Amino acid sequence: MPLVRIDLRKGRPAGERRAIADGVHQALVEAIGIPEQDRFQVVTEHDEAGLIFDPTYLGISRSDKVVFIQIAISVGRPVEKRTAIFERIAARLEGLVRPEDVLVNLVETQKENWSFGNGIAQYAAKP
Amino acid sequence: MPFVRIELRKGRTAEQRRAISDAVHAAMVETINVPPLDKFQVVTEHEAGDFVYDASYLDIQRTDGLVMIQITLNVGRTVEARQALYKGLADKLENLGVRRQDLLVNLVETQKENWSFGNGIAQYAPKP
Repeated sequence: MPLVRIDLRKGRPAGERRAIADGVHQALVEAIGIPEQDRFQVVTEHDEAGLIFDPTYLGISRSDKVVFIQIAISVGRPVEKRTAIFERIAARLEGLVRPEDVLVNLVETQKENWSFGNGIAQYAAKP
Repeated sequence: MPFVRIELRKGRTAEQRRAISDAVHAAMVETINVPPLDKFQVVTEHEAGDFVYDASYLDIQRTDGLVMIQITLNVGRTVEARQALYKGLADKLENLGVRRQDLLVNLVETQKENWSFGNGIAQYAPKP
């Protein structure tokens, strides 16, 4: 299960925010085989003071349409799979978000650190 | 790249929030060698009902001026460096009138290859 947090500047219509969320999910499906229905996302809009970024760090030219995407996922995927996530997200958001404006961070966690409901750790090893 | 989430109660001005954001970044630059341009943060204001804390846990007396900071950063810094970061944050924010007791910090450590700063590329991943 990934849990996805998307942070962006106020001003995009709801349809566009939804399309960004859709694109991020599709990218996860394509890059690491996440099940279609394994979709849990939070999208938060911020005013100018609430979303802070450097416009040139690492020589990448960013605009105030920048989108921060932080994804908690289970640990254990090889580097190539994880970097494929970045590539697929940028590709899927093309047309909605400039590739330079797509920032992604993965936070890896143990499989047993998830509960999808009912108070049970569905991915934990059975005793 | 650190990614910083700053959470606080509604009520501070935009300038005050900006000063807090700048101070947090300055503390990271000074104590754990974050590049000055490597600044990426989200600052979120909350209504009273959405900002919940215990006012005395671990015998620390907290007020509504509480600032909760979660920093995602690369793994590998020593405990001493991380402790220096907490102290640096408290020092810098105290200059802005944030009580030392009103600062809660959590670090989330992640691998270098788990970042993309743009263009769909993992800029810090080892070169193949």
